Amino acid sequence: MNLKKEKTIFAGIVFFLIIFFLFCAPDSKFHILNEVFAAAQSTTLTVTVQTSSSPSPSSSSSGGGGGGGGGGGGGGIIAPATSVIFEGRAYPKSAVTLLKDAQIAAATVVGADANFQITLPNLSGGNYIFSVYGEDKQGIRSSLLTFPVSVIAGAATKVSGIFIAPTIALDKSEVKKGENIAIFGQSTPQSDIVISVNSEEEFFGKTISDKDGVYLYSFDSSLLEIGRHFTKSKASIGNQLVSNWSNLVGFNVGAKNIYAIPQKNAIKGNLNNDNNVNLVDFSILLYNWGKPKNPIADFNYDGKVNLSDFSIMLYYWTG
Amino acid sequence: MINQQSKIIISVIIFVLFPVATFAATLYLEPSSGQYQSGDIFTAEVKMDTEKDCINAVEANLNYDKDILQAVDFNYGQSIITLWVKPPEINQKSGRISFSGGIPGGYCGKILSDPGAAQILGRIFFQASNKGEAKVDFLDSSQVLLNDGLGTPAKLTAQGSIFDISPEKSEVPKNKRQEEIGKDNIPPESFKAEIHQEPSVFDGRYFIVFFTADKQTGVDYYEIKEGKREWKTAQSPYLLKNQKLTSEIKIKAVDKAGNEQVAAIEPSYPLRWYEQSLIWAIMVIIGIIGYLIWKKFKNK
Repeated sequence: MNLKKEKTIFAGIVFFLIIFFLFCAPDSKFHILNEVFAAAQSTTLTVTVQTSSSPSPSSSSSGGGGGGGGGGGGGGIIAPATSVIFEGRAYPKSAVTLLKDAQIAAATVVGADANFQITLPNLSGGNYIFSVYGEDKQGIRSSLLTFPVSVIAGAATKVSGIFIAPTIALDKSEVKKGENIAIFGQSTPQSDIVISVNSEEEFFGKTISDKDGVYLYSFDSSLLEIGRHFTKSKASIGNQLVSNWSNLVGFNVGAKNIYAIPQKNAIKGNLNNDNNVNLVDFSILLYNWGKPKNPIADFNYDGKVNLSDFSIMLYYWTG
Repeated sequence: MINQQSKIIISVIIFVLFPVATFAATLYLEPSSGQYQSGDIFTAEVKMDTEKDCINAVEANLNYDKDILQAVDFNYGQSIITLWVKPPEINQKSGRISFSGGIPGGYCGKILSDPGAAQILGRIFFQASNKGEAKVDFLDSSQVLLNDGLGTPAKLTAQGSIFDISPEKSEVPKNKRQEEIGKDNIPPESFKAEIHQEPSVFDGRYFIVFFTADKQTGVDYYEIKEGKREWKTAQSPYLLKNQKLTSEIKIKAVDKAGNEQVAAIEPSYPLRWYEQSLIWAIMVIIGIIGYLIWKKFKNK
């Protein structure tokens, strides 16, 4: 009997080791899949600092002086003003807004090729928190992509590789169990869109955006339990550029179909109904801090306005 | 029937192959230890490692040995926190430091190629006042929340610091705070203030909203001047005294080094000439002078 037990344990350990090496070894498929999902948590941004007017930027702040063509006299190095240049991809002919320390600092219109560039001049050196978001042709905003950048005084800092998350919307606020719900939005043209539907179990779907960056995915609700569910999407181009997740949108699976009323922008966090979530809303939240004078500031309905409500507001922030 | 060993093996396999996502972050102090002499003023940086998650709200409560250390200042000029719910507050009596704030869109860690320091929430300036081993720790009430739109708390680990203070006094005590303040000759960033009126705030009365940053020593305080009233320390949102909006409003941001930046809002409803008492006073004076001159000429 004891021998049988030992054999079982031994077989189990062997089985475990086989599984471990098959799936978790550095170059196994499982491991690669994990890495893809890990990498998908944020876009791969690059910061380069140009300390002189020479065309090739250096990758560190030290760069300094030197260089330039020798030869007597002229052609001194002109130090650029302290500025930051942002380069990235969004949706064709859409609007991109840049926030500096939580407030709108600049906006631009994206080219037909989905590329954009924004230059922010006249800054002082120091640590900044920048955020960008896009607004698609339906007027739906993307989630915020926030990143810290140390701006060097007297240098031009370039932030490249920005890839704005897709927008997302649903055709129904409630779907009859067994029927399909349309999940759609906009991203960069011809990008791979991964859609996640969260319930007890997380379901993933894949589609490709068209030449205008528009994507549509029809999700079969028969996979879901009756109740509240959430969905989000993200985009990737050739597994090199991967966006953040889009905003989270919710829907119910129930007994009937209820078509969604087109809602352009953030609902939560917008306390003065101006379609923006900014310092005014933050002020209203602070005014209601603790025991709310007005329950609209209690986003999670727990009877108090606290750090959780502030966190929800920051998620939907638009500047 | 599955026996105990099989259960353990299956559990281990499931644990290794299908790890549950643990959303975690670490609050820590840097340096984790240090040796100073009595009288020295040194810094401890409060930092956050998000461990690849995105954190958008932080509440930090710290406890320090108040008999050995004195917290003299908190600099948040380099902080990743952009919006402060509760600006840093030092309570020397209880040996507590606390603050809370957030980052719109969340902080997901430093960009690898970014040349500067990141992860900084703020810098505490301690003065070594007595000999001994002083601990600085995060209290259990500290919390960080995920940028998930739901306000979910992240699993938090915290690492404090231990400072060894020797009794000998340095001939010239180190003073990090004075060094930094001395270097700061840049005012806070230029900013705009806005007047708002919301039915749910201050009973529908006018208030102003303002905010700016200072990238060196941080904004120390704001002051407001409405028309001819005196400058008064204020916080945003600020309920206006003059609800008729007939006077200019000036908002001054002052950094820890005393550099100032002023924003102004023109009066929304400037007084008409006949509503201004000064003009009436001038007219009366001119009238009196005119009358006196006329009377003098008449007497001649």
